[in-house]
Amino acid sequence: MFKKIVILLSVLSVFLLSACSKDAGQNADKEKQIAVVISTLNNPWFVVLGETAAERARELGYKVTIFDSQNDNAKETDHFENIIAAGYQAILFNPTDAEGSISNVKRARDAGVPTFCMDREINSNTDAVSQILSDNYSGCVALGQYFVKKMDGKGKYVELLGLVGDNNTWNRSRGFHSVVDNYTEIKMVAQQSADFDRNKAMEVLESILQANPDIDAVFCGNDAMAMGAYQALASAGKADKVMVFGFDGAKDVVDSIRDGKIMATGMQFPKVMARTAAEMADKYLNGKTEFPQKLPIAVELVNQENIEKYTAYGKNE
Amino acid sequence: MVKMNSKIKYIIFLVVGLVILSQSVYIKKLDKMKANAKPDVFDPQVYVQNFWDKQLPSVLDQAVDVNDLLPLFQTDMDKAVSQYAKTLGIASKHAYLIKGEGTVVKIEPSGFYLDTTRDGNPDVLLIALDLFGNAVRDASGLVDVSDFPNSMEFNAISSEINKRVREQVVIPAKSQLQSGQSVSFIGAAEVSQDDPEIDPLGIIPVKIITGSHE
Repeated sequence: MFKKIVILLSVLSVFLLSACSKDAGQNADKEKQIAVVISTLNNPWFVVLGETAAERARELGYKVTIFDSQNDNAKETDHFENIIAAGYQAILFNPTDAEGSISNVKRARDAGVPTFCMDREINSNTDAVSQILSDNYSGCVALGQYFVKKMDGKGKYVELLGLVGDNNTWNRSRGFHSVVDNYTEIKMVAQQSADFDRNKAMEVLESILQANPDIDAVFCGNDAMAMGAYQALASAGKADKVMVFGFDGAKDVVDSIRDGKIMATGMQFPKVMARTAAEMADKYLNGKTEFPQKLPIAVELVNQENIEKYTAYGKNE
Repeated sequence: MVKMNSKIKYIIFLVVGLVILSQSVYIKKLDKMKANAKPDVFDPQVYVQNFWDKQLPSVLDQAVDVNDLLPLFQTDMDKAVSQYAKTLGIASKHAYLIKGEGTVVKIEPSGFYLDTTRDGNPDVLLIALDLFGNAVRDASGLVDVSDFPNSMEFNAISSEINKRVREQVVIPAKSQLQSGQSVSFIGAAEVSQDDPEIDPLGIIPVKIITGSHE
């Protein structure tokens, strides 16, 4: 009987050891995998962010997969579960929601998978290893000053906000208002969310124009909405009379500024943010532990006077 | 007898029920609960009051003299940045804590123009109108973005500081300053490394001390 038990235990040990070594072997295969999770690939700006992060991670020797959350926090959660289960080493992450995405980052952290946020923030300074973010507030202070100058201190305008659950939306809006609200003869006649979406911005502005046909300007929380707003104004025959201001530095808006259609934008640097995140992840995986929890990247004002210095998503080299 | 038994049963159930209920419900005074509750919401006014009254005065002696800094902007910008600037993240714009003395040569709604080099031309604009941005917060070196779970809180600090500057520095100065008067000041400025706008240098004042009429 005792012999039987010993044999049984030996067989079990061999089985467990082989299972462990097989698992270790699988991990070794997956050792160099990085996941890039992007809030939506429906916006060219985020495509640039995701592809640049993936490209830099590949240059650093990692196998990379890009996941599209389609602006849906539940989809993002599924991605994180799959990423953790599949044994990825790190996540370069553009969140869907400042609050809703915290639990996903926390889950990854608890599973030993470090997360590096890009462009969009989560409201936590303990869960991600680092958050590389545009300094949206300062960017919109500069944009607000230029807006006031172009409005000559008076007139009516509409503000199109982005996703209300995203901190970028409010940092941009508050930076802009920290300047413009000091000018009592500049009146905001409508403020509405268009979810950072071009088509929605067009529809929203079309509807606002019916009640407010005499506006002088539209301030949009991103470039996709600026293009949608311009389309609505063009359809209403007001494109020459109403100034449009965006934020991002996307290709179609940079081209439109050059063509004199859009007045200005705030140039974010998605490629800088994406490369920095990938390089930080690589350093972390190679043993570095000290990173700034939040690393703001400056935003620069791009207008018709300085457009020659800029190209889509960055500066001319 | 049967009726009696069922009455006893009900009483026992009732007593047991009341005991369970009394153990599961706690009643406390509302004012005590309110007193113990931790504030969840960040209050920029409270934060800035402490910053303005206690923290900022302790770093004002680190301010660089404007007559040392302005020439450096023209001759060696890298040295100006490395020796005197504070930078938020990755940026080509840097914040400086600056002090100086000068004579008021012009007063406009935009602010007070000072001649600090005694050549009759304005070198500095102590800003009175466009009190925006993060110059004071960042130049102080006292506020770290990584300490804030939400960057909106970090940015609200700047708005509140600028409000204090308007109320406690600029408005009193407007009623005191006159052309020809000598002035000493401490303030903060944001200057782009690539495209410095320094003619004159716009400074958000945190302290203005008026002197004699020259």
